[in-house]
Amino acid sequence: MFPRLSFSSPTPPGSAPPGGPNSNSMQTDEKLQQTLRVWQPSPSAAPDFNHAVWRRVAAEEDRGLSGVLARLGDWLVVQLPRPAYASALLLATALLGTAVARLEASHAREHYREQSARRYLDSIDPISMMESTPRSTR
Amino acid sequence: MKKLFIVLGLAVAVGLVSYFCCYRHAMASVVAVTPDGTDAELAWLKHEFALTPAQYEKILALHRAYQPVCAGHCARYMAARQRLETLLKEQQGWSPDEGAALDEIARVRSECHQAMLRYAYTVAACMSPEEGRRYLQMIDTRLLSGEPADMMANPH
Repeated sequence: MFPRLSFSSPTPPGSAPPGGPNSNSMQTDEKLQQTLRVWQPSPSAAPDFNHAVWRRVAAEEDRGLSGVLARLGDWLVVQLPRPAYASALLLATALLGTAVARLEASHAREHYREQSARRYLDSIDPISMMESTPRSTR
Repeated sequence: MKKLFIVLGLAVAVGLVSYFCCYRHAMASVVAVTPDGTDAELAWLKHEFALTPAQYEKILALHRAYQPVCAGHCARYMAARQRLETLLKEQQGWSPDEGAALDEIARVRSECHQAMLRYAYTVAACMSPEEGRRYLQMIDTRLLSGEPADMMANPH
């Protein structure tokens, strides 16, 4: 992301400076220092930088509970009324109603059997019924 | 949004209708009052022990003949119990009258159970052998423990 720096040598390579090799090096260092002092980096953003940032923000929102709920709401409003999903929902509720009814009827029949057996036995053996019921104490 | 509510309303309606239809169909065999006015427990007996109409008619006649006998035992037992309760309230110590009342209670209970067993054997004889055995098992359990639990653990 940082701009590439290029430095041009103040003297062409190969030409010996007047003050010898050391004075040439010192001059280069001074120029380098001077250039670095005045240099202001001005990075330019990548072409799709803003778009990428917003994409990441949207992705983070989608991962949260509110994102899930929003997507579910959208699905319910848009997709559920479609014939395929609506038919599946009706079939599922019909099956659920049938299953719950069968379960409850099974319990009710069992209760009825127990009660009927007890009533029948009480009708032919009332003494046992009377003896098994709690009585008032003296 | 309107379509969504329509679909949800339809789903609830379909669920309720299927529930009530299935429940009603499943409970069709449960009869609270018989068409001929007999007690519901006899309708249960017919269904529970898979009685044929002829078997049911025989058992119904036996049951009707047994009811007055049973009612007589019941009345004698109640009177004996009442007498014993009165004696226990009035007397502070042991008396021969209390012993006589206890004997009467035991005698009536024994006669009642003997009559019930005779009735039960006659009823079982009207059923198929397998159902008759199951019926007598229910009676035996009642006599010994007071509850028809064993019979209910072995559904028809």
